[in-house]
Amino acid sequence: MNKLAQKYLRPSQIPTKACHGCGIGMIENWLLQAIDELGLKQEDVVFGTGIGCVGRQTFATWGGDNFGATHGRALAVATGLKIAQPDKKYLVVVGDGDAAAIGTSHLIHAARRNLGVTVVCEDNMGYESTGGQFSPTTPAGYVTNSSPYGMVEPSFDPCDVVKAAGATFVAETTATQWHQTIKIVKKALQNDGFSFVHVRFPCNENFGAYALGTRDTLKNLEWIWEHTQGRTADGKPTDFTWETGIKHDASNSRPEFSKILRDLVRKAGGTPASAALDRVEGVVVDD
Amino acid sequence: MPLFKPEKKQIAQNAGKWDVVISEDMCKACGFCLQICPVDVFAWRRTANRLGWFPMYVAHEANCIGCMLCYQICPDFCINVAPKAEAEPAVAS
Repeated sequence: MNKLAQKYLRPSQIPTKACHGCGIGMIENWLLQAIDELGLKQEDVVFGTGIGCVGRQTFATWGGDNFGATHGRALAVATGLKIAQPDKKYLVVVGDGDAAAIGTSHLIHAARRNLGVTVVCEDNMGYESTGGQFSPTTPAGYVTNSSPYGMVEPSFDPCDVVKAAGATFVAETTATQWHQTIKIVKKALQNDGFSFVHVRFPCNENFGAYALGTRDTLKNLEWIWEHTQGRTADGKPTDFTWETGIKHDASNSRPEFSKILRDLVRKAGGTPASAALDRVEGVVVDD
Repeated sequence: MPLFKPEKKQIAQNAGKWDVVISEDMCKACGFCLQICPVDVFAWRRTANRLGWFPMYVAHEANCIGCMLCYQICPDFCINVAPKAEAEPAVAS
């Protein structure tokens, strides 16, 4: 086990429940590196997840405080926690179903309010833990378990949606860009507001098997890399390209949601709730 | 440009200064470390681990140049790469 996993994760949950060659572990390793480079401890970070492959791994492995919400509702739970304990960092690690399908409205409204959490959307382009059905982020035309003649709907880009909704930090990377992902997650964690990081990773067991026709781990990761670069290994252009990098950076430009609420409660005048919130902040209220 | 390059490079001058440790019982044999390593440090083991996979092992640690590509790409937190501790100078008797 590497040193960061020993420092931050639960040893009883390693090896993880992920399939072989699944990219969730890589991304979690890079999240640990970003947390470690920022000097954060286990008790400073709260991990939140929803349901699915991503929820199953990250909820079980993080050694500090964490929560597992119902499908798509991780941000609703995170909103309450952020208001109650605003001095912690919230890392809400959700899959594409949680972020872009059932939880889209929670995502949009958390971005609109500028809630101070970092959402890492780990996207394997389908509902892979339930057998490989298509999701809104499945590329158009690709065969999945529930679209045997090819996905008929166009693909959905959650980055554009949260940017339009008012998120202050939006970025996209893939599971082949480790240094870029670590830098982006560090910037996202330093933003006192809503940060959204969209990371695509390979699924061998379902998306790879149905859409790409192979369970070869190397070919699946290579496919992700080719669509990041825009050309295949033999030099031909790919059918589409993901534009990665920071898409929108207005870090710390807007007041954060829980801070607005606390200011409002204080202005409304000394209720028990505001006194409790001030105790959390460490501010003494003179009655 | 492919992510996994089949050809391996010659051993560089700064090789051999790194401790490469792999937890073979946690390895799920995805093969990423073997393919991305530019200097051929890893190899397949021929006996299964307790998960039932035929894992990687560190075959040629002296080749390691400390690029950390295997550390970054391993999805199961198996690999740790750290500089070797300096050997203490021999005391003349």
